[in-house]
Amino acid sequence: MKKILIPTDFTVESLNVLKYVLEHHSEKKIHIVLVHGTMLPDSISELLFFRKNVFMESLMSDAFCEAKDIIANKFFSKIHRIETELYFGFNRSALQKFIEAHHITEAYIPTNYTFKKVNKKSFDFIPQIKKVLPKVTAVAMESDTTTYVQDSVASLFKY
Amino acid sequence: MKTKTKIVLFFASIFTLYILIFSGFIYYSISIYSYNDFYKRLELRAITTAKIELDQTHPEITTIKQFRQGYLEKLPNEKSYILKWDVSKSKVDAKLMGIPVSFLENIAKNGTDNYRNDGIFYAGVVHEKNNQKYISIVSAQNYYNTHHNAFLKNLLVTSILITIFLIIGTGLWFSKMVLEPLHKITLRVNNISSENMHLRLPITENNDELSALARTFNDMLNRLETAFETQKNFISNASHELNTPLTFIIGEADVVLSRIRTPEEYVESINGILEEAEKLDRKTKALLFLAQTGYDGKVQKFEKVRIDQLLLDVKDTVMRIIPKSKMIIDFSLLPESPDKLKVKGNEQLLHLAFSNIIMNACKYSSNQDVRVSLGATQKEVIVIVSDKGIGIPESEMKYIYDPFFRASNTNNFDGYGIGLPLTRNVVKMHHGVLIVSSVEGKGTHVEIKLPIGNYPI
Repeated sequence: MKKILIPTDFTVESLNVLKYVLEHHSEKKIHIVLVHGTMLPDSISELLFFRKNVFMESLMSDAFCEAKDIIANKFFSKIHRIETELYFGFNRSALQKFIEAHHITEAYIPTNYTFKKVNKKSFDFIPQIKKVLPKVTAVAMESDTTTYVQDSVASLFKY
Repeated sequence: MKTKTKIVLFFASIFTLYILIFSGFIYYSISIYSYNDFYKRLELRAITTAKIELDQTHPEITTIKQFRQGYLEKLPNEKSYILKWDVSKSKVDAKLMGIPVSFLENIAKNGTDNYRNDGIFYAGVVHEKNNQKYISIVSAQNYYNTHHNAFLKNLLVTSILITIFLIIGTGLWFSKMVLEPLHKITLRVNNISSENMHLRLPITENNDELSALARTFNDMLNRLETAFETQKNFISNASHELNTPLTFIIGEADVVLSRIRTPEEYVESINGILEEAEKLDRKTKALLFLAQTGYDGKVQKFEKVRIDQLLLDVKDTVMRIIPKSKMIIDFSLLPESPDKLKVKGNEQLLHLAFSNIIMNACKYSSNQDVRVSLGATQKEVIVIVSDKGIGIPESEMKYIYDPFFRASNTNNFDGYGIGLPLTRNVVKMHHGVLIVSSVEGKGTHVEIKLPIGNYPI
């Protein structure tokens, strides 16, 4: 079974890559890891009470979770699991370790898409993915000019 | 009791208790310590006395004497006794010295013992010489106990009293500091009545609980103000809406009756009257329906409804009523399991709600494409209706659920402003959520979320 990495900025918009993967991938069962790149807090008191899952939930909007659920329901039989993960590294070897630890074999990345920062410390690590992973597929996204509703499930239905 | 008094009392009682325990413990330990210390001093004196009096031949006797003279000061009322231990005479001895016999016996048995009678302390030791037991006893007044401890007691009592005053003072200050903003809020809120609903509470910069409270009050006031306005608008709108056709009917009838007319003219005017009467009928029916759906007490029959099927039915209806409309149903994210599409609800009402929204979308976008998308999460079915129509001005968004309210840019379109409030009532009845977001001139998004029927279908 393939384990696929998809970078996400926790907006509904970015889930269109997930939709594309599930529609076009030939594998029967897919394990997907949605990864969001962010820095760890740097104050000692914040680190003391830092819980990864709590932090991750604070970053994810309701619309994002809903949209993820909708896609999961649509491709129910094709999905082994959809995980969400945070990536805290900042150089190539850190990403290399992350990928090894999660046994990730390939990645799908959006093109024509600017990552939005849900948090001050979020960052776009697509350039790193391109360098580290041998198999990276680019998914063209239409630039978002028509939607006037911010981060809503509606962005899933554009294509 | 007022919260202020409660806080002060609580504060004061906790601290007083703590201080009492603290000083009681200190006083007790100091007395015990001073007793023990004094007995030790007496014992030392008893030993040296016995050595000096009985062991005249001891090699270090001069050193002991010097030590006694040089270092052991004379205690107040110090007396020393030395007696030969004799069980038969012990009673007489004890009586002579004014001490109990058991004290002497204990000394003989354990080698040492203490005894206290009022302020006079006794300590005795056994000294053996030539197989004869001697008992050496020294007694003195405990100056430390009577003076130092009394001083300590006074000190503690005064400091406790001072601290209690201080605590009550701090408690008052503290409770005032805490409750003052609350008091202010109460005063402010009391001033706000239906006449001056526009007044709001001042909100401080810092993000504490009290500013959160003030913000909550302000939000509530916003909602109340809107509700008040809605009420006012509703009555004026409703009477206006019902009045217009009536005025037309009356006027038309008046004009026709003013003189004898040809049959064609009668037919024409009666047709006009009929049309207006029908309009009036539709409006009152819609009103009635709104009242029915808005009324919670009425029990509606709920059964399982499949939303995808319902949307297809709605499409038929919409195509029949507005044949030019272009409604696109997007099932691309339809869930695999049909269970996720079943909702517990009343099919007719849901049909009405969806067709209202979709027909609005068609109408206000002049029959451009209207996308109806369907998806389901674990808990909800989500239907999104989006159009590229005229939108709703941002300033009027808060009135869209008011019956008879029509946005300022809808003059070119027919309608009387019942559809959206009716839809919201229906969605509310199904414990769902209706979210309308819009940008004027660009289009409108309507998101309807209905909970999935949590019963086996």
